[in-house]
Amino acid sequence: MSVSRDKRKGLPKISIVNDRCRATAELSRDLQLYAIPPSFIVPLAEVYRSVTERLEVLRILQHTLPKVLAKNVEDQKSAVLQQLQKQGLVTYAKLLVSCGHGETGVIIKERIADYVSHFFLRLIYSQSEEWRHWFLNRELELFRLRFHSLSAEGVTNFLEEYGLWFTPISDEEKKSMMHNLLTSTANMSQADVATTTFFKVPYIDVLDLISDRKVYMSGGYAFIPFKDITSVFCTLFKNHLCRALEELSVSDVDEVKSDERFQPLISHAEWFLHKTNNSGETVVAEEDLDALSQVSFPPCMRQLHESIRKTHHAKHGARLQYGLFLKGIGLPLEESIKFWKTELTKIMTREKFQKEYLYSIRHNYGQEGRRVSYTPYSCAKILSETIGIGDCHGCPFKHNSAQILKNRFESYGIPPSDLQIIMNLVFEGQYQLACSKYFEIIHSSALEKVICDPNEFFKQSQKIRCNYEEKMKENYGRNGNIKCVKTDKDLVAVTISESDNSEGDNSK
Amino acid sequence: MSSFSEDSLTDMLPLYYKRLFPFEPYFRWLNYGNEKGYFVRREFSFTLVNDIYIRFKSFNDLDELEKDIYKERPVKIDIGAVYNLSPREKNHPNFSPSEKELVFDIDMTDYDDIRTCCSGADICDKCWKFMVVACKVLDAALREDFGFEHLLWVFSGRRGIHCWVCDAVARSLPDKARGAVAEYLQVVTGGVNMTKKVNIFGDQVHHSIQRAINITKKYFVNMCIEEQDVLGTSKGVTQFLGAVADDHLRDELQKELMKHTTSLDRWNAFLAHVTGLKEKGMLKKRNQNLVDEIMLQYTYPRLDINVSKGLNHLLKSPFCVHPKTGKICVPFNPKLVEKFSPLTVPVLSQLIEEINEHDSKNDDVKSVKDYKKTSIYKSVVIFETFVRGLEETFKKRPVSNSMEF
Repeated sequence: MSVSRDKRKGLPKISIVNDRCRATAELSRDLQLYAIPPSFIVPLAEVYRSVTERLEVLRILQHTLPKVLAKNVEDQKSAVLQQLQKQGLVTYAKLLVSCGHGETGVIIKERIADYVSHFFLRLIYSQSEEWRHWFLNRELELFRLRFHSLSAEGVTNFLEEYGLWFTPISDEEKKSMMHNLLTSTANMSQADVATTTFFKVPYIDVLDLISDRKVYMSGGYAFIPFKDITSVFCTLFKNHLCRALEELSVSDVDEVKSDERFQPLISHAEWFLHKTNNSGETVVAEEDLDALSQVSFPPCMRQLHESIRKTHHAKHGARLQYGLFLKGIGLPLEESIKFWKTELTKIMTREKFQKEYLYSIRHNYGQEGRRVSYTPYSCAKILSETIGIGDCHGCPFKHNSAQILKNRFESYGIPPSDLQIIMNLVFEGQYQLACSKYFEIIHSSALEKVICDPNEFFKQSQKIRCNYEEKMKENYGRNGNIKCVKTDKDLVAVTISESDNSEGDNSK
Repeated sequence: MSSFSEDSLTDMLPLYYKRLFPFEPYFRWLNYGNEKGYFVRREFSFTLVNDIYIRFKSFNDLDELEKDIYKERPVKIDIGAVYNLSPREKNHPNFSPSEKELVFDIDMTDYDDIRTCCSGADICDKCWKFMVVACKVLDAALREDFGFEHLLWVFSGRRGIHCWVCDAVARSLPDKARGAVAEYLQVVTGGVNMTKKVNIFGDQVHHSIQRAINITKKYFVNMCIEEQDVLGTSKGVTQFLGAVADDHLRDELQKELMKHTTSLDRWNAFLAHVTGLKEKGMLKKRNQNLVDEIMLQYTYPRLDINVSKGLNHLLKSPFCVHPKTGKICVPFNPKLVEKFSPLTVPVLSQLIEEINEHDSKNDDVKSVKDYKKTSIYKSVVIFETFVRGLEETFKKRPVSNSMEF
């Protein structure tokens, strides 16, 4: 028999008028904005079951979505749905495809599971920046896919429920701006524009649409077609959840965290996240970087390393992208400082380095300011970066001209036939597949998963290189740990180990 | 006209701050109609002689501001964000930026790869035209697309311009919104590894880009082709053609252009070739907007997005003296940007001479405000006009019409 209690006790106060009625209203539809915490009684076993399930769902999103980034939303949803069904996550399979009105097959119990598990995880993951960041991104991905499943009627219900107002523009207004709507609204034909309803929305609510210049803007308003409403809601969802997480992070949640009944579940949630995002455990030294950059760095980081060695400088975005990557591969703070200092002081005085650059290196490692330890960039993040004049970072497959990319890879020794395959993928906009192909070529080994993270590229590469090292050791009977061995004409394998108790004969 | 030397800066600054710096309108601006505690929570940073840099300075009122500036004689003043607490409490765990003007920084260094008349810190009326076009394009976009009204445009002292958007709505924008606005406005992207920096996809051109094209068209040939002579050397031609993504077309154009020797002839040959292909229906889809893309690549404002994104980013204050040039960072009227020249911006040594000259010739020395005796007068008037325009909005702060739930 399980004991149950009002789960809301212990959560910080969010003042909503008449919240009991609203909370019940939240249960009246499949998709909600999680605006207010649940205020009813739930059996403890239900909390456990729903939270563990939700964690699996979020993990599926993390692993599946990067592989289908280039595809449209429908395909992304199918990929995720497939995984959900495979794992027997029936509730979420239904919730994912619910159209938001009429008979969707979702029952109240399932809505409760969704509701409760979100809030529980929100509480637990609010307690660290890295966790907040992860949770926000996964929940946003989930919301976006689910919102996309809503029919027009489902969307209207949603609008009504949240009392949100969009002002549809009148026919006269539309006529007066017809030319602009046509030229400035992305992916809409004249016929589309004529028949779609357009809404006048303050630009601050549709940041994604305006940053890509996908809609007509005038006087601070964006004129968005009905089909783009997803973007509006995603921004709203993100802003709200972000704010809520920030508030929770400075609130007292001890009452829940120290509640014995939740201990196993909280430990599970924390361990889960750690496992999903484990940071590099290897230790790398500054002197290893040159060799490592040739054998184990993804092209983006190799390009950055070479650029820094050549020009002895990098602008802010590059320092962030490369600096965090180095942290992720296990370069300790002191080694990182050594690297940047060596290079930068070739074009500036030590004083200037100390005054203007040292702080931000330490900041990346969580040693300054708010002491937040920042996460290295994923491919998705790098691909979405804006590369400005004078910048040398980004993803080479996307941000380099074709000729420059080709020349670079030729200098790396990529054979022409393989290079052609890579370039074809680049032309199709399949940047991560191109990178994965690059990986396979330089390691002469197939990849299981598409590259979606530079640090993952490094890890996989090192695995292969170190296996090679093991074989070398067997063959040549050397003891200890070999740092750097020239094996093939230009293949350099590097073994990274924490203890160097080499006694063996290191001469060839 | 006296020349300026950096050493004399320390002697002249006290005089500048005592007699010329327009403290009164400056305070009226940053006080924003006495918006609750706004001025007190504003971060200023001073750079003193010998590169001493002090952040998180703040002042309770105009008096304190004036006194401290006279006392410290900063070589440079930066304006930062308005925080949630007084900057004196910077070590408080909740200390964080809450508001700031939306700012844009356009620096001539970002045009170094395409300007041929000057390099490095130098600037002339020819390359200044890049700033003219940048100002016109940005000013129009900010006003028409975003509905911003209170824009303060300032010369950065050596070779660039800053834009301070001071509308209440702009000041309360969070980081992400600033980033989105900056990205909307950023059209020239791509670092050292990207030779094609502008891409206009599709048959329809976004209205904001079309507006930029219309503005740029009036200047491009005269400015880039003739004055900057961008197609005058084979290196220039190669760089120009780097913006043609299509290998085949690029080769064709290379041959075509090198049949001519002058920049203008080469440009006309380029135009003729591309429009010829278009008319025959032989221009590939991805090259449809090539001419506009290239014009924009050379002239569209090159923004440093990082300056605009961060709420806590510090930017040089208007009316600073640039330590290397002695020029005053004066505001200018964007509607008259074509008439503005960086070469005739008031220099501190000159201003001091002008005061002396005026005083030696006139009796009413005390009754006339010092700045009126000098060439900084016009700039102060522009600044006063801007502040007065702002003041009209101080009575009621508009309620944000964004959605909340």
